Amino acid sequence: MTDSVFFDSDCISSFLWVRYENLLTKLYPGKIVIPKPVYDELSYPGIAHLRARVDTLLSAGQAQVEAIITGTETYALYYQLTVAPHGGHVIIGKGEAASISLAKSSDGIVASNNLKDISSYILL
Amino acid sequence: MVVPMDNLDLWKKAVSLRKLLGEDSTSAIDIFVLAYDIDLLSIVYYPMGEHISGICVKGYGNNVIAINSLMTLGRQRFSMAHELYHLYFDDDQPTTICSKRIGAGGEKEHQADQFASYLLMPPNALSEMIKRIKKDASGKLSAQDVVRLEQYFGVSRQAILFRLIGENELTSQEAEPMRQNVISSAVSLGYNDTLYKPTPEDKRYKTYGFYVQQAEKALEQGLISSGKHEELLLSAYRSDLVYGDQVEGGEVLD
Repeated sequence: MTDSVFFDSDCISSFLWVRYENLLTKLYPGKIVIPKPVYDELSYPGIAHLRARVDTLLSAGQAQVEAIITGTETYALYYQLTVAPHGGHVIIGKGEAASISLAKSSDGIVASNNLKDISSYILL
Repeated sequence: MVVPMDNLDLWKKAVSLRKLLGEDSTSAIDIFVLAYDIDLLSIVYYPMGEHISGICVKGYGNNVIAINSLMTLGRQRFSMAHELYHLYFDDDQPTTICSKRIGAGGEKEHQADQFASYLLMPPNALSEMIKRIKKDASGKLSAQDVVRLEQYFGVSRQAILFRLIGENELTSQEAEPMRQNVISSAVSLGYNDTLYKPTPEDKRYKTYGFYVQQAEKALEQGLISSGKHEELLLSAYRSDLVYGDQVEGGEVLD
């Protein structure tokens, strides 16, 4: 059984731009998680059409938004990745960091198309 | 045209800023193009509602000017010139939030309005234009003359009337009817209506200048990931830089 799939902004956007997010709902029914920071990034003015497509997925129950609660281990990792990365690492985006942190806390899968920046944090 | 003693200093400041930005003291200017070139300045366009025209925030090492994109282009140009006064010559407050009504507010706001007027419409240039378009030297400016002036200097009707009343070229009573039917008065003379329209809806949120340069620099220097770079751009309303323009056919080089 497939674990939950935590999408970063760029990855989910790629499907939303070409209007093929239905591929994801077919491949991972009930497993699609949009981290709250990713949802927030998709809510900026100028890309309202992407946010609208995500909202359709959410209202149909085909995806869910998951927030990161402060004071948790997940938040500590998220903070580390976005604000104070350990030696040799660069600051990564909130969307990427949220998908990594949430996936780690629930043994899930990170969905990203930016391997270069996150490869050192994940198991392939 | 005689500049009142009280305003001489503001005129000098306007001339000095023109010089600093590489402009002569009389030509009509594209204030946005000049502002984009100012070091350490980020320019944000944001729909700020009905009452605020612009905001100037002076920081250590970087400054921000925000312009209300719901205002007409002509009014936005005046607002940019007004905020440049706060940026360069107003040491009272690090942050200034400015009213949409020209001539309203305290002393600094009056000074910034007058400065903006001089920066966009230098007294000698305005005087020359008035001489050129007036039917006879002793006559009054007509509504058509006012359109020609605002089109030449690229300012809003409110801004040109504010100035012409201040210069005693018009009385408030004469100016009042000119505040109506602004767009039709210009298009009927053959001008396009760009000056009198707000920023198109898809461009009302944008950030230009130093912020974008700094985000790029941080990426180039390996301080942030490309995902962080995209996040910085998205939070500055630059989805066009992340996803590209949604214009078919790509850019045109002509």
